Amino acid sequence: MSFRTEKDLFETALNSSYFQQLVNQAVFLIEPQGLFGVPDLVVAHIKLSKAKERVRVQKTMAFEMKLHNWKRALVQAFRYQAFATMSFVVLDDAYIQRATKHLEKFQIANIGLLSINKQGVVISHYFPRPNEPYSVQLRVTFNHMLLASAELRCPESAFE
Amino acid sequence: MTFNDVLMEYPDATLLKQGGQKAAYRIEHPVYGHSVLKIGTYKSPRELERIRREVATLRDIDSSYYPKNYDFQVISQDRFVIIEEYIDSRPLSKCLQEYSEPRRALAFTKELANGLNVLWQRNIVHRDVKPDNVLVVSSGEPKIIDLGIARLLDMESLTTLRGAPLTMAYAAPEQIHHHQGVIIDHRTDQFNIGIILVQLLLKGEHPFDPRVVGTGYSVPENIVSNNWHHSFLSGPSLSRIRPLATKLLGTQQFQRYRTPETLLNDINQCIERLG
Amino acid sequence: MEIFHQLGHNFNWNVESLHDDNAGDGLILAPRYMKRERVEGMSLVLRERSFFDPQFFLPNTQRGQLASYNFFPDVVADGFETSEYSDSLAQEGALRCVRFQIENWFRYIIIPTRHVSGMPSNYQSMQENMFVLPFLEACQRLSASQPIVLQMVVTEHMLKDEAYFNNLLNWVTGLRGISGVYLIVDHGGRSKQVKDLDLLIALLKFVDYLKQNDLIVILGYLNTEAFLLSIAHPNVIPIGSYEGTRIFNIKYFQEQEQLIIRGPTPRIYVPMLLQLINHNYINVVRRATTAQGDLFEENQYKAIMFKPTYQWHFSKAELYKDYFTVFSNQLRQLASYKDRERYQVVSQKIQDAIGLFTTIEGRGVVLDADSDGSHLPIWLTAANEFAISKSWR
Repeated sequence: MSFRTEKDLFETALNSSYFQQLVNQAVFLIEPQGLFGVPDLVVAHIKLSKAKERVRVQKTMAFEMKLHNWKRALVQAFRYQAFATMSFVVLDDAYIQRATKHLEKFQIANIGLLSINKQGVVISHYFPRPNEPYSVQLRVTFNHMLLASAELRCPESAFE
Repeated sequence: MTFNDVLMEYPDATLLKQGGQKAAYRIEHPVYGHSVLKIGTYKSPRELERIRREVATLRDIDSSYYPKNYDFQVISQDRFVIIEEYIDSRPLSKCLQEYSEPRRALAFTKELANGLNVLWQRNIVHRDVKPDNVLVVSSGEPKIIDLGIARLLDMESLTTLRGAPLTMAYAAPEQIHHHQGVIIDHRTDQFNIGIILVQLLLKGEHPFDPRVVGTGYSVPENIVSNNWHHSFLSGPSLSRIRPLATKLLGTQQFQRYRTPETLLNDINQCIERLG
Repeated sequence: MEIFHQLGHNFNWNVESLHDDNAGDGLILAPRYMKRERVEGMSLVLRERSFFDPQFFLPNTQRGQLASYNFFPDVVADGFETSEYSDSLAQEGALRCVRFQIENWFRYIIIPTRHVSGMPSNYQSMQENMFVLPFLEACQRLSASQPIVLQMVVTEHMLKDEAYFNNLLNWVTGLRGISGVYLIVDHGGRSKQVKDLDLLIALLKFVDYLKQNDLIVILGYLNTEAFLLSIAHPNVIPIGSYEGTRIFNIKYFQEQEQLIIRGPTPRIYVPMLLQLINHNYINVVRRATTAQGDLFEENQYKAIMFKPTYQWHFSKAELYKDYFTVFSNQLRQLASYKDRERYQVVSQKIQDAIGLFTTIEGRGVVLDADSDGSHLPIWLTAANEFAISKSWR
């Protein structure tokens, strides 16, 4: 049984135990604007200085969620590598085989591939290795975004 | 005045040809001497006006390639008479084989193109260039006749440039496909020149004739499909004429010569290459 | 083959590029963006290297600076219905426009055209009545000595329909008094790079037939497909800054102001890729192609743009000046090749670019559809088809 809309998929994902574990102890942003493309979700594990003037990014994970258009999702997810250390495509489990048939494309591009079903069960088909983002400027822009966001909501564990 | 009244003035009149709305007689005119009297019909004042305008323009053509136009008279409510110079000659259709040698064929074609260029410079298209309408005088020069369906392109025309060509065997594709808005210009005459050129080289055989081409189509259908006999143009000397012939016989007007000057230039170059 | 700047917004960049960097050979002036005084105030040397595009595409509008020209149809007629603009109004407008073009010593006299959509059956008669005949008459009356060039804006449908294609060519090649055609294709701009194979082949053939008829061919509003179209040997190829000068869109001449809905993402031209790519991909493309050397030709503008602190924005001059310099150099290198040789050089460059994109993809770089070279196999096919028709292959 497949999701009706991308919004349904997104909400199920966000409420799933997999993603709950991710966003716990992390800063997360939903559809942040002004970067390269608009990721559905970004999760950042950071260390913030006590004075909150500096942020050290440990890892960032950007997610592009689609029902079945894996090709387009791949293009979007690659954009997120400009500022994130890891990027992922999340697809409806009902259509995942369309993408797993081309798993090598995800592997070569180092883009993670996850699937999720309506019960919120997430399966990882490929998990990427972390890499430095490829755009210095976007990384700086993104760090500022994280800093601003961290001022609003930041888990205790984030403080150095 | 009736037609018989007119003929009675010329008791020695000899019928030359008759067809469609016209007849032509050879006469001895008391002023002009050897002349051709052509009788035609018109259906309306508008048509008469068009004919008057055409005659006036043709009278302005002072060229050795055309018989002189002497007189024009309206003789009744539906008939008119044109008197023009009589030319002692043979129609090309009767002496095609005499021009089969490539140099002679090209030289004749050049003269024909020069003659038609006199019309083209005045924005007139002949529209019915064929061996029957080209007379050959004893010196070998062509005289072009029967401008009866020529149209002036930039005059305000009372009728659109429509109407089937009189002779389908020599019609350009755009004349066969005639419809409103189709362009008829000097390039239409070029196609006719192309047919004549190849026909001369083929010793009188029509290049689009199914028997010559080897297909089962009619001449007009072969013209429209651009099926013409050209394999013979592959020899050492004839191959130099092939590009000229191919361009003249282009199915679309844009495939032919855009200006008379470039056509004449190409013919000259062909002649030079043949030596 | 000459390269002319297609002017639009911020045309100063084009003028500076031509003057300071010798990028290009002349300008295509655009009254939509340039007041009359500005045009007339240009140096004579510059005007002689340029020509004026009357931009009468929508004759009963007065968008932008068009109202400053007393020959623009809506100004001549003081508001009119299209069916009324004929005879004396058309003649008066033509006289004024031709006089303007003569007195400013432009390289060519341009006969304007009206924009139409689809494939109207009365295209030829409409253009003749509104502009062609009045302008030809005006040129004769004013003894114009510059070559007279007819502007044509053709839709993709006109070119792709064989009968319409033939009729258009028969018509334009039969017009007496013109020396050339200024051809613009309205292809809807569905993608940044033209990927319509049938359209590209038809356009190559259209240009070629015009050239075979000894007509000067000036192409307008082209993007990087100008590189491909060079194999048909047009006399003038355009280069433009904003997309509105590289892809023809009638909306820029309509009453509703929709000039720039949102700022376009800055893109940079990579000659070896024959592609403008999103600036965000620069580093990753560079890393993926280190074995091939630096794909980004150094120049004064790259030196500015590649500073780590540079803020990319579509309104920055160096973006466009870099493009003008790099692309015009690439086009100029083709000029010395003719016919089969030029086709071979162009097709080899396209194949090389395809190879580079394969390398980039093999390194795991996933570019978007406007940066990934997906147009190149189509261009190569178009080039090969055209070469076959010319017996070059």
